[in-house]
Parts: sequence; structure tokens; C-alpha cells
Amino acid sequence: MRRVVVAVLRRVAPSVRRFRSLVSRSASQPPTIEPGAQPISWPGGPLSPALRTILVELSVPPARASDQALVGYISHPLGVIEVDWRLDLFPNTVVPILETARPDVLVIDASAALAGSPWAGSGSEIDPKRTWDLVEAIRTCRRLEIPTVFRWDVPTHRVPMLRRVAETCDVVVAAEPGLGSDQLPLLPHQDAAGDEALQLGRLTGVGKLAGIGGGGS
Amino acid sequence: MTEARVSVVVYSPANMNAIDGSSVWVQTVTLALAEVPTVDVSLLLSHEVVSGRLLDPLISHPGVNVVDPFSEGWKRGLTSLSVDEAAGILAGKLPADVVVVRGSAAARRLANEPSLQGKLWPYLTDIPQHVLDLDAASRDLFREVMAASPLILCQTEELRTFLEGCHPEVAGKGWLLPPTIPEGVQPNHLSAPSKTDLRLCYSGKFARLWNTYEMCDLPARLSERGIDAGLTMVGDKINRDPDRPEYVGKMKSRLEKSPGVDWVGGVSRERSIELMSQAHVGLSWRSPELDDSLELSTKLLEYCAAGTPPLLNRTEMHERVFGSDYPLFVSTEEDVIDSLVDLAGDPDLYATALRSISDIARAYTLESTAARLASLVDGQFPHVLRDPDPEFDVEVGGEAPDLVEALNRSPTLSVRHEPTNAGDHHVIRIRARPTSSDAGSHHLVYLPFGGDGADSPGTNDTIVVPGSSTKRQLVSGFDVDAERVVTIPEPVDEADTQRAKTGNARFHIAWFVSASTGSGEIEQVAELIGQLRRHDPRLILFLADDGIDDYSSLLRSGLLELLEQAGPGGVVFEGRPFGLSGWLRKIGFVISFQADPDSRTATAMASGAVPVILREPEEESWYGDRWSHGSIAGMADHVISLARDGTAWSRDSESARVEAAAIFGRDAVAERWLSLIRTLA
Repeated sequence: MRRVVVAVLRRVAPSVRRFRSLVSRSASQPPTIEPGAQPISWPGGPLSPALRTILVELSVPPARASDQALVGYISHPLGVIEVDWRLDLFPNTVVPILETARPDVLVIDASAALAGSPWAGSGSEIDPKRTWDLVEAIRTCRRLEIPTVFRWDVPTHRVPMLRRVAETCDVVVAAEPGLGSDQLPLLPHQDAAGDEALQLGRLTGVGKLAGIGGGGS
Repeated sequence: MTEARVSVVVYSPANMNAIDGSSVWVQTVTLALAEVPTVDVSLLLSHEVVSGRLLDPLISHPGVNVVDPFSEGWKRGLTSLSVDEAAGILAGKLPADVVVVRGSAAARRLANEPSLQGKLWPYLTDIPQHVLDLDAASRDLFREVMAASPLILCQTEELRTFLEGCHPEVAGKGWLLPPTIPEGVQPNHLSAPSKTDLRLCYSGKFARLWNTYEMCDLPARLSERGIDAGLTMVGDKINRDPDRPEYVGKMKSRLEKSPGVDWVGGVSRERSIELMSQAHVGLSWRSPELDDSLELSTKLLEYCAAGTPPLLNRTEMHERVFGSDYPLFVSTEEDVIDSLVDLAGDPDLYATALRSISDIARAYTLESTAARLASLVDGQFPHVLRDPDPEFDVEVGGEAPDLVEALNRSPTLSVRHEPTNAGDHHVIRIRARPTSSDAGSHHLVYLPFGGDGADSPGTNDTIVVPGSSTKRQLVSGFDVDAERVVTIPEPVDEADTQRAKTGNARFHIAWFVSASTGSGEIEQVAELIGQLRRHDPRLILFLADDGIDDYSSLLRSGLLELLEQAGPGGVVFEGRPFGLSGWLRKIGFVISFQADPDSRTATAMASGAVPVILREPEEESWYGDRWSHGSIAGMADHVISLARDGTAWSRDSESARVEAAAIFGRDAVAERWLSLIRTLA
């Protein structure tokens, strides 16, 4: 079953000035992501294999052309960036889907942790398992050499546990000035400068992203 | 254990000669325990006494036994007691029913002492408080400590929820013990600050993340904005910073030389609060790196008790305590300056801040801490409340810990639990005998799971089942005389479920399944979630099970259709949440298709999740009619209307909470059992 949301890119006018700072930020080394001194697994056991198989089958995108970029996306249902090929990722299957679909980049919106999202609770003490799922997603991307982008689109105090999680991503950006921390590079929703995919490509150095544009498929 | 008394020893490796967070905590917890009528409390010192600043109030308290191993001659030589030596004393010379222990290393050592098994009440702060810090060592710590501990004391709801959500060994064992402020603090209401008189105060340690270096700039920076401000700095402990070795020297220099700063050094806690009360504003502005802290600063509460509104970071926890509209939340240094400038020119703003803090301190008094501890002791040691001449001796045979805990709430029942003395599977046999007569025992059979074992009771036994549909099945399916069947709901620990919901929990719906959940119910949920999600994609179904390893049969029974109806991200599989009450904090609704509540659905209702029940109108149920619906469309309409209206949802959530406590709460259930037993007698 197809689970890829296709959006049309509306504006292609990236701001060079804005992205100078992004490139310099993305060149820095993110902190280690390994939890504690020794890696551990979450207690309680994995999802039922039969269920996991079904969930993965429901979520894997169809085959794509070799030059087509795919953005893995962890977001709130009401807050989405516009990119051509977006692969929405959910807690129960995020790791196997990343391993199977191999997106070109993983984007995590801070608002994904707010109420009304399957990732609700991951930004606070409410759901440590869900925070752990996010950490596992980032670790998987690190292993698969998929660049990770964390985007602050809500104030840090609303999702305080995500501050340190964000620091483990390759690139950290803000949807508005002042979110996350002072002077983060911006990646707004449908900004006048507009082409999020292109911006992501520049941020992460993923050429396929930087090169795509126009209508979706 | 002495009759109707519980002996408690407080132990911490903290040095009671020094004033810091650990030693102050030990002092206040010991004083609070001394106020519990059923407790004999002792404090085992770990350091030779050289200062009475913290110890004098304990030594002079008639209800506190301060045990000094140095003066007792139990310890010679060095001036401090090792944890091994403390373990030896607690295992031999100072036996107790309970050992309250602070600190993970000490708790771990005591947990390995055979004679202390089941007696530890640990209070741990030096533990991972973020999933990124969890490791094998911390897992081992909790496994070992909780194996010896019936409960764990947690300073905040945030910490309790986190620990219960991370460590299965902690689940269901977390008890809140909030910070405590000293007795007798009177708020000193100053006249409002002005541009010529703005007095600030900071009390505590000096450390980089606490922004104490930057605070010393405030008088000068405010002067640039035309405000004449003074800052009193209280404390003598400057923390080293591994990343900045020069920090200690620079901080000290700032304290000594900054214009407008008066560094008074270290003082007693009482003097510290007195100094706070002489300021208009307390400073608790910290680095955002501390915003994910799961602990509440006792200093914040002391500012409130002193009548001094604190300037502090906006966090979810601070919003919970101070209210989201508290006017002195800040994040950056510029915010701090702007807020103080506003405050100096606006007496109404100051009055608003004062009003906001006026009631906060009352929730953290020694009296309220003592009340919490008394409730805890009563729950753990039901015999202390029991009537010396109980009305009935009750023996419960079989695995029924929840029922036993509920029956123990009744002081007139003397309850004995014989877990191995069970009948068939899922059959609980109860024998009740009046203590005041020679009348024989009355036999009851409790079938918490319904029909299983219904054919095994004796012909004269009274049968208790949790709901009327179970009763109907029993009567029609097993030909049991209806007169012999009584309905009493399963008990819920309603106190444990009383936890604040997260913001906008009303978008989250819980559904509890088991391996035997039928296809009819799954199809109904599929229809419901489809309707809900088409209306609002924020409505998410959180599906919890009771430990199902294999979902194959549920998938064959229609779960796939449910997933299709819900669409991407519409269903989250939670497995078996090991901290159910903590997990329920994010749940706004619970759906059920059974007229008889199962214990998890009842627990969810008691937590304030609004029950949305599908049942026939004429069907008897413990659920009130307002929660019941005759169709899937009716269920969907109800959820959608409350999800749209947060105020309406809050009102229904509170009603559900109250109603669940009155029906399923342990006291209510115990009362029903007592009435039944009296009827039989």
C-alpha cells in the first residue's frame, strides 16, 4: 500500500544568505548518541513479529526512480514541510522502515512530540519509550549514513526532553527566529523563499534533494 | 514490629554538618515522619557531629531518635560511617520496619542486605533522568534496589512518570514525596518595587548552569536602564566546572566585586529565607540546559513561602506549579532585564505576581508532607489502623492482591491472604468468620474474570462477580441460582491514578485489548476510529495489550481493517505499558464495548480518561448512562465534541474521575464487601 504523501513544490527561490550559516552549522560534528556507557535495548520486548510485518508492509513506499529523492519525516499531523517525496514515519515501525526504504534524509519536527501526534509524549517525561524510539531512529540513520535534520518549530520548553535529542542530529534548524536557541538557521513552513527540499539538500549535502523540483509524481 | 507502631530509620551518607540539598532533605523528612502518629522515627547519622545547624531541631525533638554511631561506640577512628558499616548497623543494632534511604549507592548496598529485603523506601536523585543517559548500569541499579523495595519515593510527578515509564521494576511503586519548606515561615509583604528601590535575592549554590555569574551583572545592567537595584547573594558553595577550570575564581571575584551585589556567604536555612523575604524578587533563572530537569527546586518554594515572587524559566513543570499565566517566566538574559524593568515600573504587575505565589507554599508544608507519609504508612502497614477488635476474620485464598489491598482498607476486617490456597484457576475463595460469636464461617467465591470456574463453587457458596453481564452469563450458562450471585466491581487504586493529564490529552484514545478480543469488537473500533480520523487527524488510538506476544489472531480478526480505517499514524501499539498510571497521563478517552468494566478501563476512568462505552440502553452497568452510547456514531460524536471543546472535556474528565473513585475505588469496594459479609452473618 502506498503511504507516500506527495506535495507540489510551489516556490523555488532559496535565500543564499540564510544558508551560509546552515552549511557551517552542518559541518560541525554532532554529539555522541550512544546512551550511557553501554548500549541497551528497551525492556518489554519487541513488537509482535506478525504485527510488525504488516505495519512495515503498509508503510514502505513503492519503488522510486534512482534520481528521485525521498525525505523520511517525523512530524505532527498538522505541521508539515512541503517536499516531493515524503515518507511519514511512525513509532512502531520507524527503524525497519528506515532500513528498508533508505530515505535520503530524515527530518524531525519538534512539534511531532505534541499532543495529537503518534509521537506524543516523546518530548517530555510522559513517554520515555517514545523518546527512545526517536533516539533509535537517529541512531539507525547514523548507521545507514542518512543525514538527520532536527527542526525546532515549537519552543523548547514545550518539549524539553528533545533539546538533547536534537543535539544528536547532523543539522539543527528553526522554523522561526528564536525557536530552539538563538540564531539557528531557518527552515520555515512554506516560506517565501520556499523550496524546502532544495533547502534540505543544501543543508545536508544530498544532491538529489537539491536537484529536484516541480510537480510531484 | 511493635504493636500498632511502625519503626522507621532514615539513613543517608549525607553529612548533616553541612547544609546542602541532601542534608536539608534528610532533616525535613525526619521531622515529617516524627509527625506521623503511628511512626517511631530514628535518624542514623553517617558523620560525627561537629555542627548543630541542621541537627539541633532533630536532637531537641521529642519524637526523633538521633542515633550517633560515634557516641554509641559503634564506630571508632574515622569521622564518617561507610555504607557497609551503616548496613551492618541497620541489619543488627538498629532494626526497623522501614529504612528510608537517600542516594543510589547507599540504596544499592542496603538492597543487598538480606535482613532489609522488602523494607527499603529509596529516594534517588543521582540517577539518569533522560533516556540518553540510560545504560546497563542504571538498569541493574533499579533491578537490585526495587527487588528490595516495596516503593520508591519521587520528588515530582515528572520524575515518577519518567522512572515508571523507563523501568518495569519501578512501575506501580512510585510515591510522591514533594519538597518540603520549613515550618513557621511568614511571608514578608514589602511595598512594591520602584525605579529607586528594586531588591533582588539569590540563594543557593553558585554554578555555571545556574547563571549565577550572569546574575552579578544585573544591578549594573539595570542601572543602565535607570533602575536602582541591589542583589543579595546567599551561599558559600561554588561548584567546579570541568569545562571551565577558571570558573570558581571568576565567580568568587564577581561575587566580591560586582557593583550592587552584596555577598553574605553561607547562612542557616532560616536566615536564608529571612534574607529572601527582604527582597522584591527571587532569582531562579537558569540555563535552558536545565529545562528538562525532573526535579523541583526547593529554593523556588522557599521564595514563595517568603512572599518573594521568583523569576524563573518557563517549563511545563513550572507552569504546572505557578500557572501558565505567571508573569515572571523568562528565558534569556534580555528577558530578565525586561521583566525587572517592567516590574519596577508597574505595581500592578508585582501585585499579580504576589497573588500567583500566595497559595503555592501551602502545598509543600511539613504538615502536608507528614500527611502524605501517614497515608503511605497506613497503606503499607494496614494493621496500624485496624480496629483492635475486628468484626470479621477474613481469609482470601488465591492470587487476589488488589482485592486484599481493598479489604485491608476496612479497619473492621482482619484480612489474611493465602495466595497458594486457591481453588481452580481464576477462582478466589474467601472465608469470613465473625470474631464475636461462635457462628461458623461464611464461604464466598470471587470470580473476577467471570465464568471460568463457575461450575466449581459449593452449592451454598455466595458467588461474587464484577458485573451484571457476568452474572447473567453465570445464571444462564451454568444454571446458578441468581440469588446466590452478587456483583461487586474490581477495585482500583484510585490514589495512584490521580496524576495530572498532559495538555491536550483529549486527542488521545486508549483501547485495551487481549488475545481474546473478538472480531466484532475490532470491527466496531475500526468503524469508530475511521469516523474520528476523517474528522480530525489528531485523534490517535493508543492500543494497549496485556502482554500479547503474537497478534496473528487479532490480525485475522479484523485488525488489518482497523489499520486501514485509521490511516497512517492513526494507531500506536503500546504493548503492555509497565507504568499504567503514568502512561494514562496522556490519555483523554478510553473506549470499551463491554458493560462490565475490566480493571484497566476502570483505572483509565479513575485517571480522568473520559469513558466512551457502547452498550444496550437496558443493560445494567457500573458505568453511568452519561458515558454510554447506543451506536458507533454516538460514540464518535461524543469524542469529537469533547475534542473540540477543551473546557467540556476537562469537566467530563473530572466527573469521570470522581465517579470512578466512588464506584471502583478501594474504599468503596471494601465497603461493598463489608456490607455483603455483614449480610451473610
